[in-house]
Amino acid sequence: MKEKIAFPQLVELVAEKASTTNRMSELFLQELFANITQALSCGQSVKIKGLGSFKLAKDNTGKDIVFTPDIDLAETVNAPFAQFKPVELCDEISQEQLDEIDATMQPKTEKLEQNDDASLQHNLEKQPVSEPQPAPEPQTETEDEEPVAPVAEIVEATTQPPERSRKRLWIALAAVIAAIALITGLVLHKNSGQENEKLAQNDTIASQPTKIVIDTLRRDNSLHDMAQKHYGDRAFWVYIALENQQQFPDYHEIPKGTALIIPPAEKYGINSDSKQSLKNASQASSKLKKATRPKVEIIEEVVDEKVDKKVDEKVDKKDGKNDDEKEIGKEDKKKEEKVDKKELKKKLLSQETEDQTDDNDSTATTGRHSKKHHHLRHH
Amino acid sequence: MQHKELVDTLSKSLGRSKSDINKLLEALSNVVIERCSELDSISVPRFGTFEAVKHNESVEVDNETGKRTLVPPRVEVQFCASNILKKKLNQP
Repeated sequence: MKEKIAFPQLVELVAEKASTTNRMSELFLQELFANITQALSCGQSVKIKGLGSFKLAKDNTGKDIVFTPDIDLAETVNAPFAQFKPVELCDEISQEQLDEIDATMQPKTEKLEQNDDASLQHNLEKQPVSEPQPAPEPQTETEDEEPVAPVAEIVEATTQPPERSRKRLWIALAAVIAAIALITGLVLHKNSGQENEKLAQNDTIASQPTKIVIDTLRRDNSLHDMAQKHYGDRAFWVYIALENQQQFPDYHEIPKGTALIIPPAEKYGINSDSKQSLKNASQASSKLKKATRPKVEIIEEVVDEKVDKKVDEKVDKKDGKNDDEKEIGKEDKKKEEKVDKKELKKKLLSQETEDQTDDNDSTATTGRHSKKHHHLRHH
Repeated sequence: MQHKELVDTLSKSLGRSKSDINKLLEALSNVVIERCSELDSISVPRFGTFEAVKHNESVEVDNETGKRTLVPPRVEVQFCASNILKKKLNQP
């Protein structure tokens, strides 16, 4: 490519083509060009078949030789670009746009639609295809029309640009879908993370990631004692009760020897040195009392009122002293004895109300008073 | 001078048959075609240079009609006479 072939090389090439000797080729070529020169200096033009014609032309500077290549020669040399034909352009195209086309070598549909013609040429130049060119024909027609018409040309243009833009469309679509999937995944992950945190807080099973303190409720201790042991103040018993509420909705009903979860102090803001914390604990305990007591009261109303009132008075007095805690010790036993006596009386008085109490029995789970139910039921 | 004349002249001076001369001329043409297709140039001393020049596409404007035409790219075989030849032509 772009090589300069000197005479000796030419001699060799011609000799090879003509299947003759180099010497012969050399002689021939020398003689040939001498003759041509002779003829030209005589004012004659020379025409050689297959090569071309040498004609004299008069110039300002003097005489010059004009060479016109033979048709076959020209066409064969121009074979790669033979498919292209001159195309008429509409007025709106500018030189700048053409330069840009040349620079980028890419069809740009963003620009004026008329560029399709130039891009068309480029595409064909890169990949010589012997397909018919519909572009020139519509071009001549739309010459005088508004730019709206060239939009149709984009559709009519070669299949190359649409295919590329389609591919780009698909790639863009895929990228968008991937982005959306990523975002939703992130959002879901965040939400699930929040849910997990909530679950962890409410989980009473010993599968929490944090360290779980478990203590066994012994026969001779109480929630109060456990609170004292773990938190430094008896008042925080309520939080132990709350922590285990799922398993034991009624703190009175927790059987002895049960392993209870002792919640970490931070969970309920337990601080034995803080007055606010103690205040909160007492509030929580009174709340819990109310939550576990009302059922008992309902049942009691069913039974003889007089008897119940007396029982309540005694129970209240004792509760007031002991702050409504579950007593498993001697005191509790004493209460039970006294209550049992009363229960016998009640039983005699209200056998008719067994059905009603039985209904309530399923919901009521209080300690002392539920025992009352048991007595009633068994009889 | 036409082709036939040239062939006759060459055949006499070289002592070869016309067919041989035609063969040689044909060979020369083919070589030129081949080389020019590769965009090479052939220089003949004291005569000139045959060269293939590639023209990029361009817009030609017809001044009369104002029409703009996109001319496609093409390869053209050009000949440039050597200075010696030019001197010869201008001298006689």
